[in-house]
Amino acid sequence: MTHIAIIGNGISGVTAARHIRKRDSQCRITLISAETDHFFSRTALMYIYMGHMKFENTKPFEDHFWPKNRIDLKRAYVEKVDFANKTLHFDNDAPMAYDVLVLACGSKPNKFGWPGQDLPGVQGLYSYQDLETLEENSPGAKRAVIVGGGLIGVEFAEMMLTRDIKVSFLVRENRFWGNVLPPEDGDMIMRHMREHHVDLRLNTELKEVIAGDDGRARAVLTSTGEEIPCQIVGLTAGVSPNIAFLKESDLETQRGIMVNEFLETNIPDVYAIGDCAQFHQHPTGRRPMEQVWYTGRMMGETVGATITGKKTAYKPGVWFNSAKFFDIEYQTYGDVPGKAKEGQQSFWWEHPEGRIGVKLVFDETTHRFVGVNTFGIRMRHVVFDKWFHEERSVEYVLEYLPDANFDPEFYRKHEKSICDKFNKEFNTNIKPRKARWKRILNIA
Amino acid sequence: MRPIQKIGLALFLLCFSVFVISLSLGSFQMTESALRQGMEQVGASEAQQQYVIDQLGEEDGKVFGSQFAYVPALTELVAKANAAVMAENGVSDEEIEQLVTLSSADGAVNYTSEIIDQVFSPETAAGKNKAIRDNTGWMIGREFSGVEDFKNNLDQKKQDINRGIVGQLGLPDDKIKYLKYHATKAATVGLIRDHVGLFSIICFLLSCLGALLYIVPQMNDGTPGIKNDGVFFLNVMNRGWIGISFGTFLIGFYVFLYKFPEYITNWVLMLDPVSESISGKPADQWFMYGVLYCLAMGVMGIRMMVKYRHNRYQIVRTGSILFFQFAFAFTLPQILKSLNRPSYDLKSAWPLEYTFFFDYRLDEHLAAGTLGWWMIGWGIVLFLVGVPTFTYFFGKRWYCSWVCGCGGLAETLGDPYRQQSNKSTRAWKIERWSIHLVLVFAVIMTIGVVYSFLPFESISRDIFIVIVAVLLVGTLGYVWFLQRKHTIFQTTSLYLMSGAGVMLVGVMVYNHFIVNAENIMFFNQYQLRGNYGFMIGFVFSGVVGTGFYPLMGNRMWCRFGCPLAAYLGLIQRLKSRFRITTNGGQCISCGNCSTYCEMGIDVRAYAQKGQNIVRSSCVGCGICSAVCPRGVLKLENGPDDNRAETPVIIIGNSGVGLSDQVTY
Repeated sequence: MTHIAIIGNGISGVTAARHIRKRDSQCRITLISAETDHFFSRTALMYIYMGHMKFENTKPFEDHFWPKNRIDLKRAYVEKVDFANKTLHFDNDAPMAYDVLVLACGSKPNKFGWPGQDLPGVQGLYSYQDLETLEENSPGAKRAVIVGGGLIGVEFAEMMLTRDIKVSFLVRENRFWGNVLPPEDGDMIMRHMREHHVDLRLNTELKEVIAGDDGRARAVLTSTGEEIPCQIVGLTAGVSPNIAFLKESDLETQRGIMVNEFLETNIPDVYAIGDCAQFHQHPTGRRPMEQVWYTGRMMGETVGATITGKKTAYKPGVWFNSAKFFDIEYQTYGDVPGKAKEGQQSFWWEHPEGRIGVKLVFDETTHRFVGVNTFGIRMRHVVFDKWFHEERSVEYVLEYLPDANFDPEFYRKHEKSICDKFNKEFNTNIKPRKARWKRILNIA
Repeated sequence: MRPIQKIGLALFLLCFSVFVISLSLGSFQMTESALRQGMEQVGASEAQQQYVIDQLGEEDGKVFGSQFAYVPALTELVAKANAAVMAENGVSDEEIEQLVTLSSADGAVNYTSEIIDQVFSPETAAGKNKAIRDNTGWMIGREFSGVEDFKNNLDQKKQDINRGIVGQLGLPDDKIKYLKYHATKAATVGLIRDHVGLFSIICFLLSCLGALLYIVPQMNDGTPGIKNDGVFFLNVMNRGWIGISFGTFLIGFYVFLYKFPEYITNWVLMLDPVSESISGKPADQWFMYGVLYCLAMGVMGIRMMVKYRHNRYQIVRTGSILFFQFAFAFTLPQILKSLNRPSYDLKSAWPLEYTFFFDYRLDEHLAAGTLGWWMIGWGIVLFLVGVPTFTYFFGKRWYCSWVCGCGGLAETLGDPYRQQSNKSTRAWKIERWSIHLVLVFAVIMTIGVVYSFLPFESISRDIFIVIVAVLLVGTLGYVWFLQRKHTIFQTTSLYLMSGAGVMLVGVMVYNHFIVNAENIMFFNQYQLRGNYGFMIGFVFSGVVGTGFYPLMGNRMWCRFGCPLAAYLGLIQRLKSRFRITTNGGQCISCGNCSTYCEMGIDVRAYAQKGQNIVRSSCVGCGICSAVCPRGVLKLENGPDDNRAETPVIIIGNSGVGLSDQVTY
C-alpha cells in the first residue's frame, strides 16, 4: 500500500489529500502539521481576533471528516527529510517512512534584518501561533505600527482598530499596494483607510524597532527620522517560503522549492505545492511564486491527479483574486497591473460616494479586454472567465456588464453610469443590455 | 458608546425592570362585582354565578397582596361553590345506598321504577329523579351477577350524573381555567389599576424609546458595512449569564402566557385602554402578546435596518416582515374583531396555522357568511396553490423571511443569536427527521379533523378521501418523475417519503372504505388535536422556538419544528428557481457564511466546492451573502435546471478539468 505523506495541513496540503482520497480509496495518507490538529482557514484568523468567529468556526471540515476519509492526521514538526531513505524525522516521534512526499509547508512573514525585529511585541500574522502571540501582545496596547503595505497589513490594521488600538501604517512606496493596485484604485483604498483613522505614512520605511526598559518593543524609528511610540509592531511586508528545514538536503531550492509544471521537484516522488513552491518557469508566464489561497487549492487538485496516476500539468486559468479592505470588497479578474503596461489602456469609474469603483484594462489598439478590478461591487467569476476565453473587446464587456453583476438583489445598479463615463471618454455609444440568464449560464 | 446611548440603555433597563416588577405590584380584592365580571366573561349563567357569590362569606371584600394568594383563594371558592351545587343537586352516597338497599331486599337485585320514585320524589326532587331515570333506566329489570355488581354500576352512573350537574349548574373545569384569568384581572386594585396609563407608558413606550436611543445612533458608527466585531466576546450572545437569563425570561413568559395567564394579568390590564381604543373591547393576554410581539419586532427590526444599512436586500426584507406583522397579523384581526367577524390572519397558512381546519374555526367561518366562505377558500388556495407557486418563483424565502410572523421575530429579536445555531451534520440529520415528522403529524391530524367534520353540504367523506389520496399520490409521482433527471432527494429520503405517503393513503382507504372506522387515522381526533396543540403549538413553537433564542439560535422552531417550513422546503428542493449562487472559485473557506447561518446550513461546504446552495431549509435571509468578505454568495432566482449540480471543476483551474470528471 502506497504511503503518501503530506507536510502541511493548509489549503494546498488538505486539497491534495482530499483529491488523492477521492481518486484512490486504498492508499495511506498522512497529513502532518506542527501548527494545528485540524485544517482551518488561514484567511479567517483575523475574524477570530475580531470576535466574528471562534476557531471552531474556521474549520472547513468537521473533525470526524478525517477518520471517515481515512486521512491520518499527525501533529508534529518535521525536523529533517531523509530523501535517500524516504523517511521523515520528527521533533516528537519516531521516524516515518513514505513512498510519496508532498511538501506543502507554506510560508512565513518576511523579516528584512531590521534592528529589533525579534523583540517581544514585534510579529507577523500568518499562523495560528501568530494569532496567539497577538492576543498576548494586545492587552494594554495603545498603538500599533504596521510595516509593509499589502493585504495582511490592512487586515492587521482592521484587527487592531477593533480593540481600540490606534494604527500607524508604514508604506515604502508612494501609495498603498502600489505594485498591484493602479493609482486610482489605490487612492480609493487609502482614502477608505484614513476614513477608518489609519495613520498612513507613505514613502516611509522601518529603520529600527526600539526596545523599552522591559525589553519589549517601545517605539519604531522610521526612515524619516521620526520615532513612533507603539506597543505592537506588525510585520506584513510579504511572505517567503517556510523551507529552512529543507535547506541542507539534495532538494533544489531557491527562494522556494523548485518545481516543474507537474509540481515535481528534482527528487522523484517528491512534489511541492502552494506557497512554498517556486516554478522554474510559471506555466502562464506569470511570477514564479503566487502565494494566494486559490493557487494553493489548484495545485492541490493538480498534484492529487498526478499522484493517483493521471499525470497532470498545473495550468491555472485566468488570474483572479479577492480581498476586503475594511468595508470595501475587492475582486479582480484577468490582468490589471499596478503600473500601466505599454500598449494598454485603462478606464476608471468611481461612485460619487467614493466607496465603489471599477477599473477596466484593455489593449490600446485592438480594444481586447485584459482585466478588471472591482471595488464595492461584486462581479461574476464565470462570466469574466468566459469573456476572457472568447477574447471579447472592452466595448462588449461594457455592453453586457449587467450579466456580470453579482451584487445582492435590490442593490443600486451602476452599469449605466459606468457606460456613460466610458462613452464620454472614448467617444462611443454603448448602452448596457439587460442581464440574461441564457448568456450568464451559457445555455444554448 | 455615546452618552445618548448610555441614557437609552439605562432607560430601557429601568423600564424593562418596571415591566417585570409590575407583575408583583397588584393587589386583588375578592368582591362580588369582580367575580361576576369574570364569570360574565366565561359565559356563566346567573344561577352559576349565584352559587359562587353565595360562598363569598367572610372572604367578601378581602384584599390579597399577590396573584399567588388570590388565585388559590379563588380556586377554593369555586370548589366550594361546586361542592354546594353537588350537595344541593347531586346524588349522594346515601341515596345510592338507599337504592341498593331497596332493590336488594330479598337478596337478589330487583331495580324498579317505583324504587326510584321512592328515593327521589317526583314532586320534590324532580331533577334528580329524571337524571337517575335517564342514566340508569337501562338497569331496570335487568339481572346482575350480585349486589356488588349492581352497586358498582350505580356508583359509576352517579359520577356521570354529578359531573353533568356540575357542568350544568356549577362551573366545569374548562370554565374555571378561563375564570381564573378573567376574575383575577377584574379583581385587580391598587397601584396598577390606579395608574394603568402611567405603567403602560413606562412599560411599552418608554422602554422602546430607550432601546431606540441606544440603537439608532449606531447609524453613525463608522462607515456602513458588516460589523460583527466582538459577537463572540459578548456575554449576552454567547450563553453567558445575561443570555441565559434572557432565555429563562422568554421561556417563563411563554409558560405563563399559555398555561397560567392568571399570573400575568397586570400586563394585560395595562393595555386595556389601547385595546378599547382599537376594537372597543378590553385586552386579553393574546392582545398583550400581539402588542409585545409588534414592539419587539419593531424595535429590533429598526436595529436590523441600522446594522445592515448598506444592504438594500436586508432593508427591504425587514420592511416586508414588519409590514406583514403590523398589518396582517396584528391590525387586520383587530379590525375583524371589532366588526364581530372571525378574526383571521390572512398570511398564516396551513399547516403552520394548524387550527385552520378545526371544527370550531370552520363553524365560526361558516357562520360569518360570504366573508367566512371567502376566508376558507383563501386559506385552502394559499397552501394548495399559493405556496407551491410562490416557492417555485422565489424560493421559500417569500414566506419564511419576508412574510411569516415566527420568521419575523426570529429575524429581528432573534438576529443577535443567529450564530448559536448548530452547524454539524448530526444536527442536520436530527433536523430532517424532526421537521418532517412534525409535517406528517400535522397532515394526519388535519385529515382526522376534516374527516370527522364531514360530510358538509355536497362534500362527502368519499370525495375528501379521494382528493387527499390523489394529492398525495400525484405529488409523489411528480417527485419520482423529476428525480429521473436530477438527484433531488437522497435515495433513502425518497423511499421514506414515498413510504409515508403510501401508508397515509393506505390507512385512509382501509379505515374509510373497508372497516368504516370513525377514527380515519386510527387515533381519536380530539386526542390528536390536544397532543399537537400542546407538543407543537405550545412547547415547540413557543417555549423552544423563542425561549431558546439565546441558547440554540433564533430558528429552532423554523428549523426543527415548523410543518409549513417543511412543506415549503420540499418544494424549494424539488422545483424552484431559487438558489444561492456560488461565485466561481472565489471562496476562501473562511466560514463567516456558515457561522451566521441561522438555519445551521454549512454554507461553506458548498461554496468551497463551487457548488450552488440548494437546501430545503434555507429561508433566504441573505445574511450569508452579506457577511461574505469576498463576494461569493448571491441569492437569486434563475432557471431551475442543474441549479444544484456539483460543478466538474471549480472555475480557475484549467489543468484539472473539463475532461476530468472528479465528483467533489
